[in-house]
This record gives sequence, C-alpha cells and structure tokens, in this order.
Amino acid sequence: MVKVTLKSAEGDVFEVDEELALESLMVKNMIEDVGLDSAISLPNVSSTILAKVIEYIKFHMDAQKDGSKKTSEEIKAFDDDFVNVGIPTLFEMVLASNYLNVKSLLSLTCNTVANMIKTKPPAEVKEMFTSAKQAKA
Amino acid sequence: MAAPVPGLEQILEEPQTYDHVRHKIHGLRLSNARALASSSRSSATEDVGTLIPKLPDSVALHCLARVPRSALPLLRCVCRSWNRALSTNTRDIASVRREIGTAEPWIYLSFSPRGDCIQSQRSSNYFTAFDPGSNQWHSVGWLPGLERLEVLKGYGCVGLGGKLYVLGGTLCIKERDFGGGCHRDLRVRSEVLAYDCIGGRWKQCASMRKARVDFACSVSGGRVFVAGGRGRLDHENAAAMASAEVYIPELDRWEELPDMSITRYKCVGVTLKGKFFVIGGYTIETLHRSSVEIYDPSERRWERRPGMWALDIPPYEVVELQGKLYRSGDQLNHWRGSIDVYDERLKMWKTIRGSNRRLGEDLQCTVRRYVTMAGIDSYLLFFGGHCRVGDRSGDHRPFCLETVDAFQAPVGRWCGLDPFRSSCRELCSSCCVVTA
Repeated sequence: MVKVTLKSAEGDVFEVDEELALESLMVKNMIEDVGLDSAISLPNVSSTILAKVIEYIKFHMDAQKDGSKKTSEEIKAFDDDFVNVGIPTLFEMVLASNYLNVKSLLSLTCNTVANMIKTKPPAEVKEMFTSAKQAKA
Repeated sequence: MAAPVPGLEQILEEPQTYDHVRHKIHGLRLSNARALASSSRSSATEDVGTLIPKLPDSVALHCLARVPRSALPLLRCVCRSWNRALSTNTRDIASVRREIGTAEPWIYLSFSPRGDCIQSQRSSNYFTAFDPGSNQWHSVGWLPGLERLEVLKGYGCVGLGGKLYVLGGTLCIKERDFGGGCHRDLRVRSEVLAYDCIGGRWKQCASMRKARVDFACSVSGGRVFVAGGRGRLDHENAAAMASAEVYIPELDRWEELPDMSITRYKCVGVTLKGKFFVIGGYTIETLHRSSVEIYDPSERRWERRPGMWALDIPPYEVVELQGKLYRSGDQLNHWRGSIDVYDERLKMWKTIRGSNRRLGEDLQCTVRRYVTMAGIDSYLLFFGGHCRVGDRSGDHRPFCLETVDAFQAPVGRWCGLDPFRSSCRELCSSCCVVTA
C-alpha cells in the first residue's frame, strides 16, 4: 500500500494510506501535481484537527467496505459523537474540511452549525457566536 | 433598480404581522449596517467573515443554507449581516441552497375574503405558503399595490430562482354578497411583481410589453414565458392575442417572441422537456380549441399540434411531473373525479388507475368552491377550498375549509393531510411551487 505523508501547520508528520488521502480532493489535486515523493504540507490545518479529519475519513472508509458490520445507527452515533465538540473546534473542523475539500465532512460540520442555529432563539445564536469569537481572541 | 411598489409604504404602516414590523425596522438600519460591515472588514483582518466570526462568508453561507426554510425568517433578527444576507441580498444563499440541495419546495396560494366578510376587511389577494415537508402553513401577506377592495384575478404565477412571480391579470372590485362574490372589472394589468421567498420582500419588476389576462405562462431554462390571453375584457375574442414574450430575470427585461399561429385566451402554459406548451383555450374557430402550440426556445419557433387537448372546454391546469403531463379537470369543472396523464406515444389522455377520489365531498355541509393542483417530486398535491353552508343543528356560522390531498403518481396512491380551517378567507386562484 502506497503511503502519503501529510504535514500539519505545526510541522507534525502524518503518514496515511494513499486511498485515505485521496478522499480529500485538495490533497488529490496536490498529488496529481507534485507526486508522492515529498510530504504534502497543509499550513492551514493544525495537528489536532488533522488527526480528527483522518479519524473521520478512516471510520467512514471502513464502514463502506464490503463485510463491514457497522449499522447505520453506529455510523450516526459516530458522527454525532464526532461533532460533539466546542464551537471553536467545530469551526476549525468546518474550515479544515472546506480547505481539504472533504465534502461529507463539510456537510456534517455545517449541518451541526445549522442545527445549533435553528434550535436557538436569535439572541442566543448571537451570544453563542460572539463568545466563540472572544474565547479565541 | 426597480421603482418601489406603489402602496408598499402603506402596507408597512399597517403592522399586520410580526414579520412586517421587523422588515420595516431592519430596512431603516440597513444603511448603517452596510457602513459598519465595510469598516469592520477593513479594520479586523483576523475575523475573516462578516456572517460568522472566524469563518469566511462562503463557508458561513454553507452553514446558514442548511437551516430549514421555515427557520430562516427568525435568523434575520440575529445581527445586521445576517439580516442583509437573508432579506436584501439573498442571491448568494439561494444559489448555495440550490447547489447543496437544501432548497425546499413550498406551494403558494392566494386567498380572498368570503363574499359576506368584505366590508369588515381588505379584500385584496392574501398569499399563504404551504410547506409539504412539515404540513404547515406560513402566511406571506397581501399582494402589494392594491387598493382595499381590489382583487387581482386571471393573473399568471410561476416560481423561478427562489422567487414567486405574479404577472398581469385583471383588477376587479369584489362586492359584498352572500354567494360566490360578484365582481366588477376595472382594468387589465401588465405589471409584474416578484416575491423573494427567502428575503420575504415584494419587488416590482419590468412590466410585460402587453397587458394580459387569462394567458398561458410557464418557466423554462431560467426564463418566464407568457403567451396569448386578452388585453381587454369587453370584447371576448376580439381582444384575444397571439403574441408571446419572454422575461429574462438577470436583465429584468421582457423580449418579444414570434406570434403563435392563432389567438387564444384562457389557455394554459406548461413546460415539458424544455419546450413551452400553450394548451387549448378559446379560439375564434372552435376546431382549434383542442390544439396546442409548442414553442422550442432553442429553435425560436412555434409548432401547432392539433387534437392534443381533445376537449371543447378550455383547460384549467396542466402540471408537469417527472416528464409527464397531468390534468384533473377543465375550466368548468376543476375536478372531474380522477386524474389523467398524457401518453405521448399514443397521443391521448388516459385516466390513471386508482386516481378516483371524492375530493372533500365527505366533509359535512360544505360546498367545494375551488381545486388547484401542484406537482412536487412524485406527488400531485390538490388544494380544495370548501365553504360551509350551514347544517341542521342550527349552527350557521360560515367558515372556509382548505383541504390538501396528495396523490403519489407512480404508485397510484392517495393520502390526505389535515384540513386547514380559515375564518373568512377563501382560496381564490391556482397555486404555484417555489423552491428556495
């Protein structure tokens, strides 16, 4: 199995299967352009977020494989748990999945934000986003 | 920029709904918000987006676009930039919703007051939207620019690009009575109004080149096609038209099309495989009433197909669903007891097996006044307007009841949804689907 080396913003190196790396359309384009020889650097993605994205892709690739015993409930439980994070982390995952162009993860994370928005009254939504802004500042 | 709709100011003065008031307040703050947004963008490079801090606007729109349509109006209250994205500048969010497939189809219907309620309220057209996904009704509001007692009839309505277009029609005065409501016609209009279904605002568009009532209209390739109809109401056939025109929304402009081969009014428009069909209608020669004119936008010409309607009575509504045409009745009888589908190979209308139904006739002590149909996914939805006529128990308080029935066309199965009871308004026109 061919391996691809991904380098996070902090310079940490992640070695993953090529099949997994190709799930990110951005990485796929990079591989097509520069080949597999050098590490692919991802200056916009931190190590913690990159590790999470890899975990997400890995789980869904395993779940789609033939002979996978995972039920749709298990997959949903994984997704729910995966996005059950604080708003700053969630936003970083939205940004990373947008940057890496992982459609299914972008859709999952954006849906999570949308669900937060739709279930709260306007004042709370505003509060939620302003506090996210201050927490980081 | 289109001129403001006359009378819109007045409507805003009357705080009928929470929405109306909110629009007004936000409208006033809008100029401030723009100034603020542009200054904050230049000063704070750290906060990439104006919609959600830390997220670029293109990504933030992906989040907002995933919120269900019914929750969008409330989001306008969150902050100024959200209000801007969801009320005045809705093009971006509308296109993201279409792209990611979260745009929801709602059906827009127009109501007018019952004949015996006229003096107590406005009698203009009141629009309401039905959300088939959640079986809920959402009020839209009065058609702007109409006087208190004026009603618009015989207009065309289509949904395109997240907007509901109301085209032409005749203005008439609805006079108080206890029957069906009697009407005095004022004039035929050429005006076109568009309702932005996400932004919740009406806007006046360029008027049609000709005033029209009882004409055919439909949407194909992002444009609105209209054909036939009458320019005046006093001379039946003499005022009928063969002319046709097309509206280009991006340019807000109407362009003339070649004429149809004959004049037609009370004809019906529908789009099938990109072609604009003008079906039946009253023609000078009775023979032609069963014919259909088909406009191919790529070839820019009309073709007449004889015998396609096969009834002397003009059509009332024809709906396209998954590449097939459906009808449920004609001008005189909107519901003939079952649904017909057009078989293109045999060139004839065939009754769908299992489509027989007594639409709302099991409701006690009511008469059906109106039926209109809409096609969404694989469903044909029927909206019935019923009026109570009093019963033996001595309870004579009148009311109107709207029923919704859905027919799953490929399977041939009916399902009924909860009836919707309104106190003094009745369904008064055909409906139209707007996906936004």
